[in-house]
Amino acid sequence: MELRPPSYFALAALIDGPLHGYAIAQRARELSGGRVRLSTGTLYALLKRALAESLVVAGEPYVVDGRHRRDYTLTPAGTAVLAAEAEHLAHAAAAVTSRLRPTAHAVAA
Amino acid sequence: LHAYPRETRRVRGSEMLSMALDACGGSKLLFARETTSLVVGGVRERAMITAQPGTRRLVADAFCQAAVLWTAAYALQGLATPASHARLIGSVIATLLLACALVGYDRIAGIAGACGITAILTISLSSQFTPLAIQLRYFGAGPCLALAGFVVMIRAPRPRPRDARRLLWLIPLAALVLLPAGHSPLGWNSVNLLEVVSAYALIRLADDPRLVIACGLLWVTIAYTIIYSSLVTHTHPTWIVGAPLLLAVGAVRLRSMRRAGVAQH
Repeated sequence: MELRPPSYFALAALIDGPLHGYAIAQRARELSGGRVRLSTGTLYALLKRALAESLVVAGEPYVVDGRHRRDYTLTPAGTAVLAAEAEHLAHAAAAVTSRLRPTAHAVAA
Repeated sequence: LHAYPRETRRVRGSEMLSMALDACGGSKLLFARETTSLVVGGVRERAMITAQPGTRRLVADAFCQAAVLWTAAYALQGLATPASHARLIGSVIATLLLACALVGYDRIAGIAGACGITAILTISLSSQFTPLAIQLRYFGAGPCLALAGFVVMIRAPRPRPRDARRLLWLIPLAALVLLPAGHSPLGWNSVNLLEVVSAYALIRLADDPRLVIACGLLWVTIAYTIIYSSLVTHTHPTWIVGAPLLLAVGAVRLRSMRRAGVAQH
């Protein structure tokens, strides 16, 4: 299963533990270096699909400071998908980087 | 949030709203961004639900809706300007059939509609005053489309729960009955009805293209009738171009929804 960057970083945000929606969006933004900015509509569409595919599980709703929250947790299946995608991306990056290095050296010479 | 299906609003509405308010942080620009994302997300979710049964089912639904719309137009035309006692009775029967289809009794409506149209076509085609070829071309398009829709309703009725609240759709029909009739060969009131439904269908196009396809099919049959009836004068209204265009818009949206369903992540 191939994940697009918003899904990848949203799932990656849950590696360290359960988070609620807004916290997932903030963490995904940090992890992506500001490149992925998840709006509410986008994040909840991602979470709905992730829930349907059992990549995450939703906790019980609660209220903090008048804000309704629900924590989402990465499942073992979600972790496996995320790990596979990270490996795939690392392999793809390595393939390009290893070819770019000799070219860069040649240009420098 | 009302862009989302009711179930999603019930389960996640409050937390989505909380996140949107947090993400805004008092900024009007971010508020606009979050609001837009919620509307787009809601429409997408509705579109995904609509696309789930598959293209064949959606096209079949569009034919069923075209048959229902044709029935409404037929009932309206007869009720607004009853040419004869028999025509008035036919319109009342068509209204009952329409009520059946709206509530969700598709098979009953389909059988009654197919029998009714067969009767109409038989009577029309047996007229001694007009050549058969002309009758077929003039009367054929609309009733044949409706007949196809009724056959679909019999063979593959729309899988939806029965709901008497859908009878509220008869209110705009009743309002159009009270409007003064015009001089269109199909009756202005029928065209008015189709205009209103087409406008509503275009609003719903993003999440449900079925009604646009149904309206497009009906407009094409009306355009065909007008083109044929005004062949002598060669004056066709400009909106005729819009009839196939509406159909094409619906088909393109249906295709894009299916594609979006394939590439989810």
